[in-house]
Amino acid sequence: MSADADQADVEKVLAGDIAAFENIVRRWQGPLINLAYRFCHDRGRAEDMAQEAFLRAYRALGGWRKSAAFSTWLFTIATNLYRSELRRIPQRTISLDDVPEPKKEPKDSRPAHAGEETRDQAVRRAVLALPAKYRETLTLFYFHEQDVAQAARSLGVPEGTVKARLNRGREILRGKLPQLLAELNLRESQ
Amino acid sequence: MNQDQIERTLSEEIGIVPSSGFVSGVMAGVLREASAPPPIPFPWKRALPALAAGALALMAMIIAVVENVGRPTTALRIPDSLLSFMAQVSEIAKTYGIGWILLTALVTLACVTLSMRLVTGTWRTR
Repeated sequence: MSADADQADVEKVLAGDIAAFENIVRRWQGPLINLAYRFCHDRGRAEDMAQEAFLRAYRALGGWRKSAAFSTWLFTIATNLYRSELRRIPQRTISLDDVPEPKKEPKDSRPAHAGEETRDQAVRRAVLALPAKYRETLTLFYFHEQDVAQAARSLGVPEGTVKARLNRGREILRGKLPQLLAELNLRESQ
Repeated sequence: MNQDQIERTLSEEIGIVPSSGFVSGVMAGVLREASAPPPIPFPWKRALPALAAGALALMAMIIAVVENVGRPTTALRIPDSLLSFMAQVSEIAKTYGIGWILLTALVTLACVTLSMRLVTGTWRTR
């Protein structure tokens, strides 16, 4: 992903060549949709939110200060939008009781990685159940490949705040996981 | 479950591939935005006299309140002509209930600002 290409396309758009915005969309559609998906866990809604993020970026394009990378600026716009959208209409969290029962299979036929899947499922559920500020911080930290500085810029908070929220978020996760895992394992064994 | 397993799950790539119509959908929205007429600017020139009148009325009200609490007006050393003008303005303000109108306008402004901050997400919780 080239910063120069971003800058050239932004300049073209600002000069009136609206079609150049398509290059920006093509370059950043994947990351923005994936970030949205991490927030809402709904593919359709993730695309809608990413689309709105691009429109907001287009409207605010003249306000991009080149001191920050275009990607940082774009992610900040997207993050603010996703957070406010999720607060406006929270994602549907499915209770364990609402999850449809999987077809019962003989224990021997289960794949070897079934335990791993259960663990992953438990972690994702535990993250969804976190208070918004910890969930958002964890989501952005792992989306930005564990870069505290970038997560802090996207959230608009100091790095120290991100580190504190990460620690607290992980603590809560560790506290909740054993219970979730036990519930999921119980379901699997039935 | 140890911390490493949690970390691994959280940092796992999701890899959602955008649908084929995504780019065209965004560009259709962008073109709609570009072809829309520019937003109507707030008519500051027209509003300025009304705002000035409002500020004057507010001043008159403050002076009237000061008078009512019994402070000696002579201590303020305000010229008589200005005082009589203020009294007139204050009278008009009382007659038309400008104080209430201003109060209502301020409350409305506060509500709108607060709502917009909440909707746009500029209200930060730390």
